[in-house]
Amino acid sequence: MADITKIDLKDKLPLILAGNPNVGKSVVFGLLTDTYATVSNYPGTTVEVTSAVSSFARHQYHVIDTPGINSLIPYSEDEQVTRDILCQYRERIVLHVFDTKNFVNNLLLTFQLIEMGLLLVLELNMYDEALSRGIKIDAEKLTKVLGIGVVATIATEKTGLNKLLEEIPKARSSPFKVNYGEKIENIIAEICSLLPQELGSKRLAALLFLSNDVTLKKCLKRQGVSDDVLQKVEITAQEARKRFGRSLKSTIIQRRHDAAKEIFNKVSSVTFVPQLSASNFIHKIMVSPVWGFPFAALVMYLTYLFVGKFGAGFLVDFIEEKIFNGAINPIVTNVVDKFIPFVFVREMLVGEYGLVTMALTYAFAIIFPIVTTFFIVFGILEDSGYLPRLAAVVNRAFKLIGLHGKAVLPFILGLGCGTMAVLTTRILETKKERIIATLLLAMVIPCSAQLGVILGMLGAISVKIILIWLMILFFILGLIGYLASKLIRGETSEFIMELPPVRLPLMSNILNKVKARLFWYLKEAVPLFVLGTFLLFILNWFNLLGVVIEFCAPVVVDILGLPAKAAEAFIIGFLRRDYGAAGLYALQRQGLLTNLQVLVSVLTMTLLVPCVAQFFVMMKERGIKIAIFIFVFVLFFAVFAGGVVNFIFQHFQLSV
Amino acid sequence: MDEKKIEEILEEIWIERERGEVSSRTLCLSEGENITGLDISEMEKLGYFRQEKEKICLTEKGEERALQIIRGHRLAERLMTDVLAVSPKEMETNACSFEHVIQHELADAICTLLGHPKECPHGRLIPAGACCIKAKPNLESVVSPLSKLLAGSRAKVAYITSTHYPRLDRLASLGILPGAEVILHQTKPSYIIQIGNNQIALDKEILKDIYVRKII
Repeated sequence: MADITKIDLKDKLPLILAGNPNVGKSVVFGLLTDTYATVSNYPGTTVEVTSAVSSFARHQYHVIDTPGINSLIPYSEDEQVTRDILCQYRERIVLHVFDTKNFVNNLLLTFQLIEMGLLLVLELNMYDEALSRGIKIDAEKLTKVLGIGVVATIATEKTGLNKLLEEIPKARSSPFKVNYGEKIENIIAEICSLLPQELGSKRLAALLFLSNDVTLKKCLKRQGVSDDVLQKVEITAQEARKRFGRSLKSTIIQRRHDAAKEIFNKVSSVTFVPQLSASNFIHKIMVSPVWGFPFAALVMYLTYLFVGKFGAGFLVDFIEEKIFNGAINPIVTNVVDKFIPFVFVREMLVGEYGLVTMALTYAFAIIFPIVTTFFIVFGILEDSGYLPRLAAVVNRAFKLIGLHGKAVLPFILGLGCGTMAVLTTRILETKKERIIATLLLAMVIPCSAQLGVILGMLGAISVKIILIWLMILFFILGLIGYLASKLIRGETSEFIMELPPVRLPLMSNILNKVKARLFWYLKEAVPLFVLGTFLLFILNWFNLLGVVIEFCAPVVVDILGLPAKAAEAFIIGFLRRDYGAAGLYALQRQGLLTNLQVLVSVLTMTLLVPCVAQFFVMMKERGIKIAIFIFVFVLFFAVFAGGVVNFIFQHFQLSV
Repeated sequence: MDEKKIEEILEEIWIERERGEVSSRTLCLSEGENITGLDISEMEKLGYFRQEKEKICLTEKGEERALQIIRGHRLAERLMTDVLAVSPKEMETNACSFEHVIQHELADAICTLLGHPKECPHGRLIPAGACCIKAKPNLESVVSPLSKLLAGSRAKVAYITSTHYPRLDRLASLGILPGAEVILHQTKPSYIIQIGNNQIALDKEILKDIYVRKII
């Protein structure tokens, strides 16, 4: 992984994309660069920063896409990273990307970038959405007010791109100043006079000191400001903060907002556009206290039909039977048998746990169709504006387990692919929330590969047993979530979520997203399946698999009351999730399991640590220590819960 | 020594005390009031405070009187910003004269009208009066937290009491600032408000800190 701080810049000028969250920065990034982008973690953080080299208008740029921010005062890791990137270079151009319909609110950040003395270009992106709401911005007038280049674009349609490429080399710093009122301006002047002359970001530094930003000092030190000066500034700022009380911060925000509104009135024309009544009607149903939950249930059911029945059923059967088992595997096996004399290599490639016959078949014949159909559904839910509304509907329930509505996203994704879901826990703001979500994903959320087989097994018995299984899972979800929220230290964040308008999703957009996500799947998840299968192969080759299974068998027999053969399904299930479920399914079909045993085994399987790929991602995202802790805890709890259910049903002779 | 002067000095002591320790030296240096050493020793004789070395400590009598004056001043400020919508400059000069009038029962009446505000527009604490302690939450007041409104109400943001800086920035970036017009669309299963063109779903806890004036 490339370390972004150590990239060799030579003659390349850094071009930094900055802006509030969800303004389409990454789409703009894609337009500006066509070479391969490097995605790297910012040093010491889990924040991903994308960068690439690009040349246009006879210049070479090192384009950096930063995480979205609301202000230059860093409260979250994302904001810290963006600010550090902005501070880091001596010379850099900043392209501030706007969501034009939120012009006034986006301008608050522009003011801060201006106060930093940066070379700026303003991009009024998503201009079409603003137009559809009757908002028009006069770019030329805005250029006159701010003194910097302003370009209206629709990044998804490449509109305005050429103009943007022309403006970027002409980036300049803006002479515009927000008037904070005499009292505050006096203090700003006082602090500015203390700071070294050549510091470009003096005005912003003064304002940040007044807002009591403790992280700023480090940044200034790096730019060569001495401790002595910093101390003097700090004393002046402290004095001012005391004098003004809490109002200082609000006054600064208020003044910025007033200035932004004034500019908006100058450069915009607004016509009233009535909201589509259908869109509003659907919105009302989605968030209704009465219909919100039934609607969610309906969406889940349709998702199940498309992903579970069509994807996991029809497509998997077709690809696995016809393409892999019917064509690819026999051919590869033949070729390998013919040309490779070593048994070890042969077994490794095409044996029972072979990299081709097992890993690739699994990755492409079983998981690939499932995740593809799932990503399509997810894209539709995303673009139609339903996901944020679902988050609003379930917010209160999620509060009970120390999370909030936003967490519904990784949970839904988890029903598709747990590995992907763990990655998405990044959208949660605090470490505590991420740990709780990772734990619950590992424990109670079955992925689509399992879900199909599990529902098949339970469905063959009765609807009642499905409900019992669901109820136990919900109970555990609530119990563990509640305890985790009480026991894990740290902060939880607040729920504030913008609800974009409900609209008909564009198929082309969805396909683009599905493509990007599938690419991710091939790049990140498939190698993990291969690695998992390789481990399984090694264990099997040295007969260790049998040893492990034998070692676990007593637990399976004595505590869970299952036949010893079920142990094999559990172990293999970890390396290949659907195999585990399929192993149990085979036992059921052979009549080796009673109904109670089906319930206990399926429940334990659901609770047990997910597949090896998810475990690897957990290590990558949460760190080795936490991942192992979660693993061990889930392992013990799954056996414990399975044992308790077995005991209760047997002891009270309940029927299932 | 006239009553007004006594009250001004007590007010100054209170404000200084909020910033830290009060000594007769800092008191004489403070802006605005012309406080001399003579005034200070006279006030001490009247039993409003004791001096320990240079440090000034209010007596029970002084404490009670200072609280009344501060309470009056800050309530007057709130009244003028939230209800009368007076400009900040006008507010300051008027509050200085009101503070000598708005005391005891009148202060309680205004406090009740405003919904027992906790802070003045500058973010300083308003000392609680007897009415705040007795206050019944169901009493309707002119300015109330957004969370208390009924679904469907329109309101204008009067002030936000959050001491949580990230939240203030976040709210500002969504356009939730004093003066902004909001509509509370629904309260269940989640609070949803509309501001300008945007709909936002958010926690009740956040709405509790956003004080609004209802538009009827």
